[in-house]
Amino acid sequence: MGVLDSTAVRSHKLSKVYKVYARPADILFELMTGRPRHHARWALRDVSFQLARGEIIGILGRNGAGKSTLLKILSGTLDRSGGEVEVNGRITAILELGTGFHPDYTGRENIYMGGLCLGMSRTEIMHKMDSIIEFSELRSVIDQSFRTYSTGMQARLTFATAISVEPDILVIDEALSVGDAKFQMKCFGRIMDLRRRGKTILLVSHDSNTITTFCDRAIILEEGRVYAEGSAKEMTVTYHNLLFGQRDEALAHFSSHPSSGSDEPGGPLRYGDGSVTILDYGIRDQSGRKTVLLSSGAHYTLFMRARFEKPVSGLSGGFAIKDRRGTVLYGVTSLTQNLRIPPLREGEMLTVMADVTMWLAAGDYFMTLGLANADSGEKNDFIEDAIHFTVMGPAGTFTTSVVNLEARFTMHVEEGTT
Amino acid sequence: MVLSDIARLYATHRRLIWELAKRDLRDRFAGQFFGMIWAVGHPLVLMALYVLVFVYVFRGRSGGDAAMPRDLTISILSGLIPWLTFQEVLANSATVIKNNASLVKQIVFPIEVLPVKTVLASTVSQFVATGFLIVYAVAHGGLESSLVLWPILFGFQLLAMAGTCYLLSAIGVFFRDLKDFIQIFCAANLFLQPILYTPDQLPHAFGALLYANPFSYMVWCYQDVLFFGRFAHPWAWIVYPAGSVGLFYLGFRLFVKIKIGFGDVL
Repeated sequence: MGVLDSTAVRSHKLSKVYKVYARPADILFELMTGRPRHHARWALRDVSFQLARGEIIGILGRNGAGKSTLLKILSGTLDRSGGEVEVNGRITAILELGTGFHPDYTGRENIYMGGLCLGMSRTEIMHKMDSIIEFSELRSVIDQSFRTYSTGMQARLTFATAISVEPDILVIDEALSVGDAKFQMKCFGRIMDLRRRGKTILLVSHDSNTITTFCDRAIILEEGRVYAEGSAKEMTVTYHNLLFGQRDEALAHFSSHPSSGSDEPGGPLRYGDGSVTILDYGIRDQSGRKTVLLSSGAHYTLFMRARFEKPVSGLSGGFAIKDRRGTVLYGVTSLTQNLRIPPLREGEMLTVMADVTMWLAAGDYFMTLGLANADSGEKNDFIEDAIHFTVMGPAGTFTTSVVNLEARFTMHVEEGTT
Repeated sequence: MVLSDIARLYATHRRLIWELAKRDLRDRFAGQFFGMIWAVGHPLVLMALYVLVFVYVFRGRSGGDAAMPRDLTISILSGLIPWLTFQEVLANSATVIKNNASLVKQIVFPIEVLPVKTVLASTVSQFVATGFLIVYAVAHGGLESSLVLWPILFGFQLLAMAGTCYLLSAIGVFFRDLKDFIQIFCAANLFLQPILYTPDQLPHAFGALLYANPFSYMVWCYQDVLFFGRFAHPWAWIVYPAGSVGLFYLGFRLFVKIKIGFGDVL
């Protein structure tokens, strides 16, 4: 294991089986009698991968896919059941933020204790104290009790402490979403800085945006096995297909019973006077396929198809897009576009389409659509939050970005005149 | 892992151990009006209470005859004080790991320090109580020069307590009932040691039980130093140090061996 060894982490057919006991005392019973009193649950099965020095790799997977188990085994807090693991270098992890942090102590005392818990020496902490406080932007309150901090401030301090260690291999678990945009930018900078210095970083997330922003490569874990491995961008697509494979079924179920969605809690809210029924709606990509996984910067068509139950005139159809908090980010109707929908008779079908370029940045969004009277605003058929769709952001932008401004960097250097 | 490796481990993490022990102590009285005063006040009041009971309530048995020339209260306290500390460690040991689950799950955290900080945090009351006893002894019949051996006894006591804590904390992770067994044991063990009486004051069979109890040897050593002023129990001076070192080594080995399994249960 020389310095020249380019492999930071090697895992070969790594397996972990949890023995699930009904009661902790059963463990003792089994040890003494030799008779098994557990049932097995495989958390990891034959997981093999290699991690080169200086690489940033993402590990994607939903809850229970085995991500945390993998990290714990890599870092040595959990025993493996089979296979081999080789870790070259000092490993540290930001798994649970705030280890060693206590609400009764001041921010400064907590940095000290947290640092000790993360394996730093006293001199190392004293040396870094100032830069940690600086990084957390909490200098004015650093000598106040930790409990007086807001949640965001607490997260900033714990993160600033955790990221100040100098490991060879850093494991970050879902920790990057702390703080505001400015703080995230600093974290981003810090991670890029670690990367430049040849540190290996393992980033674990169930959120693909984080992975595309930071990672070169990604591994998807599903039910304890390596489901796929490849470039970060490819893997986010694969991961979404994995996730939305199920969602499509759910969506199909919903479209086959268009009226059943009305007052269901959690489902789309639907209302109207029954004169028009929206039968189908969605987002199509350029090849005409329905999708809920969009790429920022690409072209799509929003559409809805409705049947008229009785003659209606003066109609307007529209789409609105909201973010997770319900803020309407964009809205457009045939009325605002000066497109008049002609009067239609009973039994006739109408399709309304809007070609759009997806300039939203990475994130989850909801689309509301419907048909209403252009003058009175009375709703004929209206589906609130009909579609939940995910936009994959352009690589190399802040995860907090709201829109895609499609930056293209250039630069030039001028000779000095002196 | 040999003893020198263990010593190196402690040396590396001495700051962490120190801070953790300080916090352990502070956390016990956190949010209380008198705060850290309790750390000193509690053992002092307790000692005063014992003296009151032994000197005034059990007046008839307070020594002064040919066999026990000096104040018997000194004998009782010299054995009782280390046992009280030991009892505190025992009471906490089964839950040390479980109560620090967040630290145990942390990657780089050296969990070997947890039993050590628990032991250290428990010793404060022993210092206070021993100080009280020394003052009391000076006031009632003087102090023996054998007191200089006290630090050595205390050192072995630390080893024994750490070993016990390693052993029980590791088992306690898997066997949650352990803390209840320990509680019952502690209540009984006070009477199974030669603290309140000597073996020859008891029926023969029960007296033999005192010799079988390893804790008795610690008590005898402390009594020799603080009360008799001579090696009145020579055997104890062999059994106690050897037992302490053995217990520590055994406890540490077991702890290190099964700590990897902690993550499965926590």
